[in-house]
Amino acid sequence: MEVNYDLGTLNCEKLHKAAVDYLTGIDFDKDTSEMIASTGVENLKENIEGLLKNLNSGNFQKAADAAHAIKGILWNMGLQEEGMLFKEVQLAVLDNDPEEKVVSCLKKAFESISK
Amino acid sequence: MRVALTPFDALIVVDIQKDFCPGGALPVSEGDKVVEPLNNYMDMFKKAGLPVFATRDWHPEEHISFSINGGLWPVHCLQNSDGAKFHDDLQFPSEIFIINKGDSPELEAYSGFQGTVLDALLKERGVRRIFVGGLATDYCVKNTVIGGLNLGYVVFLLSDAIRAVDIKRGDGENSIFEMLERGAIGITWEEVSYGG
Ligand SMILES: [Zn+2]
Repeated sequence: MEVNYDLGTLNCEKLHKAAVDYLTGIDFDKDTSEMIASTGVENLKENIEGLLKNLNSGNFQKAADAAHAIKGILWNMGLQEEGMLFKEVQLAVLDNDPEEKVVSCLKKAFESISK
Repeated sequence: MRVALTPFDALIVVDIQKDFCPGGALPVSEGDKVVEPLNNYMDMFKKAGLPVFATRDWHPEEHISFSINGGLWPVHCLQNSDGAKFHDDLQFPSEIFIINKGDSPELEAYSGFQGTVLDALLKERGVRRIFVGGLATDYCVKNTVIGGLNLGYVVFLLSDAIRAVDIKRGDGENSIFEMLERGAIGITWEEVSYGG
């Protein structure tokens, strides 16, 4: 598989703000919200790199694990729909779906978190 | 400062679970040191006929707070696991209200009020002032204290019955400062009395 994503297009500011708004809205204090949001964005980058690396090297179980983690990171940030798109990536990988299906799921998922 | 207990008071003991004590999955340094002071507070509230609530982290395996699931923490306080049990030396009064938090997979909770019935139970009993101690100062205690303040309770922070994780040095101290700044009142055992 040959997939890539430019981390520079990741919409960090928007994701961070969405997370802080969500977390303060469910009664996390401001500092905790900032901490979870910042860590979330950093972990997101790391796991996106992991997802791509493992997809490209054919390490599908690890790729699915990374997609699973990305889903959880996004859910921690209150981004339910975006998280669901990565869950779809995870399932497509685990189900050994055809490459074009995985790629199209991935494209949709990345679009949801990009500038 | 002297604080006399009133019929509108309740004690909230936050997360005194094995996983948060030394040897647990997510240990707070000296976390077990809060057990004895909290036993004293629980005894006082019991003698005063006042309600005691104990919160606990109560996570399903797929909980989003676990790092394997995209969260920040190692697996801890799994529902029905040994690590989720309260510390062995904790002496609850015979009537204790247990508040589970973080018990649905997709919701994290640091405050005892987030996604729980704690506020409803307190209101039902006419509680207006809460006394909060436990683990960890910089996470669940802080969020429970601030959550209580936001809900309009007068909140006393039991300064001699809390310990911090201190992932960054000073987190605990900063949290105490923040809680006091928001209106919580820091007190210790010597300052609390009841019945005259
Ligand atoms: Zn937890």
